[in-house]
Amino acid sequence: MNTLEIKNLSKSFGKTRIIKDVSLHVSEGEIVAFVGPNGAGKTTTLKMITNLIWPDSGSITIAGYDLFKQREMALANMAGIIENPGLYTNLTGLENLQFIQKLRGVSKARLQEVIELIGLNDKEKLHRKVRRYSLGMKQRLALGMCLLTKPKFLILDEPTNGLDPTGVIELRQLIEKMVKEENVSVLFSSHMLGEVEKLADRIVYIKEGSIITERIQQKEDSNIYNIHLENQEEKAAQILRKLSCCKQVELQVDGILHIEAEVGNLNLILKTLGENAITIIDIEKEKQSLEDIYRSIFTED
Amino acid sequence: MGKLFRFEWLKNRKNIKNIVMLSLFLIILIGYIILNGVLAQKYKIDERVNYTSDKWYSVMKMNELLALSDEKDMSKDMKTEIDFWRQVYQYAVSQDVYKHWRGEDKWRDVVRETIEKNEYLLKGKEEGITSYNRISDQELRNEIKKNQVFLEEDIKPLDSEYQMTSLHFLYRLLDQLFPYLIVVVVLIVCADTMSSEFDTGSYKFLMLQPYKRGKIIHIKSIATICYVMISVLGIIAGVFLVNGCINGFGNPSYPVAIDGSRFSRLISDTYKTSAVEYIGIGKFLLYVIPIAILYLLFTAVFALILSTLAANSIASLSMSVGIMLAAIMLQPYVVSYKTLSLVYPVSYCNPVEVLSGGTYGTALMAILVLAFLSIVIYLVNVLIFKKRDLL
Repeated sequence: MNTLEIKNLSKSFGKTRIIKDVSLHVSEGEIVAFVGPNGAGKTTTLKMITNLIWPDSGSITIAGYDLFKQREMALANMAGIIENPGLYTNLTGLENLQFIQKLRGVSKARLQEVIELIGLNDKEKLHRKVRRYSLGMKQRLALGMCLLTKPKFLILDEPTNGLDPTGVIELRQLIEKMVKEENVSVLFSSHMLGEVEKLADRIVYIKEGSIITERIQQKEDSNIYNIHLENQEEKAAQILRKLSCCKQVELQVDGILHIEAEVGNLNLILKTLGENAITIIDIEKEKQSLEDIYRSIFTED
Repeated sequence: MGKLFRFEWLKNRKNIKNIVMLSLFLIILIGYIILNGVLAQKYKIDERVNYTSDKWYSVMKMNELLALSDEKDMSKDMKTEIDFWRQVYQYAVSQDVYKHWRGEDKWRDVVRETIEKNEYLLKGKEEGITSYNRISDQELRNEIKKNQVFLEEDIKPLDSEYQMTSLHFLYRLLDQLFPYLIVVVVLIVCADTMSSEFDTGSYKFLMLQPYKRGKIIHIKSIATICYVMISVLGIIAGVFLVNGCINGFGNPSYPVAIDGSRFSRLISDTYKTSAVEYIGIGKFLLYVIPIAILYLLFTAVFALILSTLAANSIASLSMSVGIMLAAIMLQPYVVSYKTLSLVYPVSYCNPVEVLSGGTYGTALMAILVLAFLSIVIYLVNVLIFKKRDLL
């Protein structure tokens, strides 16, 4: 089951269509990056997922719960930071954490665990009013508030904004740890392609309110292939997903199969397609860096 | 829900703006009592050395008549009038003598003299001896009735309107400071309930909690309303008690004017006729407090809806105070359109005036209008919040 499933989401403000028929998903334990130029619609999409904004049409399902019909159950499985971390600045860091802790019935042991996880276990910092926190501390505190309830799904809107390099590295390590230890699924948006490259399992590209393409992020022990078929793309995707060597198979909007497979298994993939009478027109091994891909997608002709 | 309510309460309690506002409110109340105490002392001294108003007036009238001709050359009507004013002067002098020179225990004699003087004035007006337009016939009758109550209930009248026994302090507070001070305090505390969350972005965390939007706005609204009501009423109660220990609580049977048709009609008979009844101040305040609380509730929900609509707390605070003060300033113009004034909520911003027949609508009308508007505005606020895109 996908932790997040969005289908045909659309939103207009006045006469301007901001989000046009967006569909995407995030699987369990997956880190998906949401990338696009300013004004592409990333934050608007994330705000719709968190129900801060009402979509004009479409559906959003979180951990199997419809966000609009089963809002409380859906939100119980989700946490997030949208734009800047919105904390209660009149309260201390500890009081902000206790807000979530008491509201959601989280144990004191978990609270202590999260405080250590986010590196705010200095009593002086914890008891300081949030208005006197640095941006990095606010980000960490906000993340801690998200993690308290052990959500299945986490949304982060440009989480590295304003962080110094150390902060960026720490945040990345924290997210990786959360995914590994607690099987959290993450959808995050970012302009820092270097961090996206290191963190994301998959990257969704958005431009002018529409999803342009999705790319699986290559890992060290795998290769990424783009396979252009004559027909039967859906059937081919289903067949390849059953192969153990194929880690991810994505059918893109342009009909190209985008596959992440273990190194040395290209022959098996081609043989399987051939046995099922699926004709291949072209096959390409992806070698481009993320920056090259970004440029190729978003640079105007 | 209880947890969220407790958290909202904590936020309100720790809000610096609220602490400052309520502290200022307390300081102003204390200052009000001290100022009235000073004025009361000054009034006592002034009364001894200056002419009381009726003494002065009667001397002025006699001088007017004597300026027209010598007494021996006066017409019969003029002689009757000058004799009339001489008698009024005698009454006024007797009042002074009892009041200032024969001691505090002679107050009953002062009251009797006042009744006799007013009855004499009324008779003089009814018989056409004098016009005496300083006070209307009905007001004279009301004064006579009030002084009769003093004698019947054996209650010593206050030395002056500035005397601050606790009951009288509460009466004056509701009469004079309520629309401008208490209402503004409630507005300022409530007006940034939602908009302050937009300022800091903390609404995003709140909205991500597993509660329906409707529940969130209900709890925030109720927590804020409870907080401001308890704080304001608590401060007033505290000042009431402390002042009572210092200046005395006063006699709960002290007569104050009340509209006889207050809960039986929608349009005030007293407003039309000026004929009031008198009840004890304790009972009066028990009647007036629900109207005051309802008006505060209306003020709170009005501020809450502006807080939901505004993009930030500066906008919501400015709009709340600005619109309410503008509405109060418009009130004298609205009053001339009687039907409009019945449903204009700010017509009921002075609960003492409402209950004593100073408004076209009665206390019953005030309760109906304020309750209805409060419910409607509250529900509209919830609906707006539920449907709104929180950008």
